[in-house]
Amino acid sequence: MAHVIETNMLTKTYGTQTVVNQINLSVPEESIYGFIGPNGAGKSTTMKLLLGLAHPTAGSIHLLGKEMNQANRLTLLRQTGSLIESPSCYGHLTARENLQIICDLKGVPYRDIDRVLEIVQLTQYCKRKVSDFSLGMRQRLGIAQALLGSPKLLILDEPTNGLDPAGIQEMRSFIRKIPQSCGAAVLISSHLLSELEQIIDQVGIINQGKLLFQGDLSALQRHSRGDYILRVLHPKKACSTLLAQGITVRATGQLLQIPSVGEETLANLVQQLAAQDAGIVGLTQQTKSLEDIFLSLTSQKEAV
Amino acid sequence: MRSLFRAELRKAHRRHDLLVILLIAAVVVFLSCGNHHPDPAAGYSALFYAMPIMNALIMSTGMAVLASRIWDVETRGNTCKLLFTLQTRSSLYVAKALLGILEIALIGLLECIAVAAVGAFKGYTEPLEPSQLIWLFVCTFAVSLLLFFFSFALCLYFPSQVPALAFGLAGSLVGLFSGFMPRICCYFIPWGYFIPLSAMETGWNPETRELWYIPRPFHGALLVVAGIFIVLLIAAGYKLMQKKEV
Repeated sequence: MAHVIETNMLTKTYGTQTVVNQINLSVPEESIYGFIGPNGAGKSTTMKLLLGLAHPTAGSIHLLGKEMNQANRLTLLRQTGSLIESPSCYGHLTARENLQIICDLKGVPYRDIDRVLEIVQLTQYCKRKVSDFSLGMRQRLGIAQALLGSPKLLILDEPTNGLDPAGIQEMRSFIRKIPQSCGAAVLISSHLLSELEQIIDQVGIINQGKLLFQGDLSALQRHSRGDYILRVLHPKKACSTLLAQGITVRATGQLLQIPSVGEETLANLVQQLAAQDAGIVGLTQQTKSLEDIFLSLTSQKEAV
Repeated sequence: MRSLFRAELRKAHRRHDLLVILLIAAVVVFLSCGNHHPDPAAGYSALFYAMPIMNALIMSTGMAVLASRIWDVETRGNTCKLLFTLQTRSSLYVAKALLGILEIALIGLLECIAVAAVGAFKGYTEPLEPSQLIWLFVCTFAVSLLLFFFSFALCLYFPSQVPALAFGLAGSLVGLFSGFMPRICCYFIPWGYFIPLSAMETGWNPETRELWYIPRPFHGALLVVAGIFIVLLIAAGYKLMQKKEV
């Protein structure tokens, strides 16, 4: 699979503090890549490095298959759209005039404006001054600016910041459609993990400047299986049987929580519990949300 | 570069910059006329004497307003982080500097047109010397440019536009008073360079209380000093733009 972003040991140091520490980021084509991390983890700095707004201390960045350097930075970035935190637009101008400025700077013909306005559903408001726009409309205008010139990559840093639930829902549906409608890959960061879970297919988790996990969202969920919950009629018998097998148990009435084990071990445990007449009524596995996985990974502080 | 400058002109759309330019020139002309010699035979001399003094009073604040308006549009729009991915920092600086230069040239031009218009309206009998008009334009343009780039550098250095405007206001007062200080002092106060670079000065007889205008020798060295200041301030602004945090 080709990658639109590849970094090699990307590092950024401010004084003695390493904010981004040897990150190897790989964002596949036409994917939606969620970049997750707590505040101060290094997400925004990484995005700034990718956009050439900060210079790496070490390492390299490959954008759209080419190594980014001072000479080709603008050429590559003109094929990239970005929305960093709040949208960048001129309030005293209309939406169309704002897009005309970006067309001038990107060297894109003005006829592309109608296409992007249509995508973000701002066509009927294109003659209205941006200062009269709601934050949600401004964010959509920001996405429209990023989409001008049909970029192969969109870099969106916290695009749902400050939006109300309806605005978040709207933004989510726009972003979800981008790979199909525009053929672009999206790198998106957010602290709203539950929101990202619904739109991304690739995920990278960063903490204290280090990339803790990177890969398919489904692989991460498989990797981070939840505990098993057993419901038994005779908890005392069940506990003693499990403890004898070296399994740690947390009992709450008839519910016993045991850590995730392999399928063969689980089958063996069930057999033994049945033999000891523990009275198994039910067995379920907890599914970890992305938020749970994220919290467990960032608290471990070790690369996976 | 043409498309970058076109983008800069688009940003100026509906920002009423032309109105601000017109207002600055109008205030200078209005104050100069209110102060000028009533004798039509010395009308232009009086204007060429009064206008640089009013320029010293108005331009420092005026240039701070222009510079802060040109940069404020990016601060308010939070647009630097987007622009720096689409154009080089130096090209943004050059485009903005060009717009500022154009606006200042327009103010200088308006002042010159106003001199001729006021003379015609008030029926001055004194002949209008084109060389003095050019002199007024060159000196107004050069010193205003100096003040503009000083204010622009302040706008880039501080996250807020307030310091540039505060310096502009203070500069207006210092500039005006420098005209009444010993001549050596005014060379050290660039805000007041309009006055020593002006085309006219006055003679005064305290016994007869008679006032007359005499052409001031052209102070080429001071114009060169102003030019050096401009170059230094352009370089400082350029450096600040390169280092601008986003």
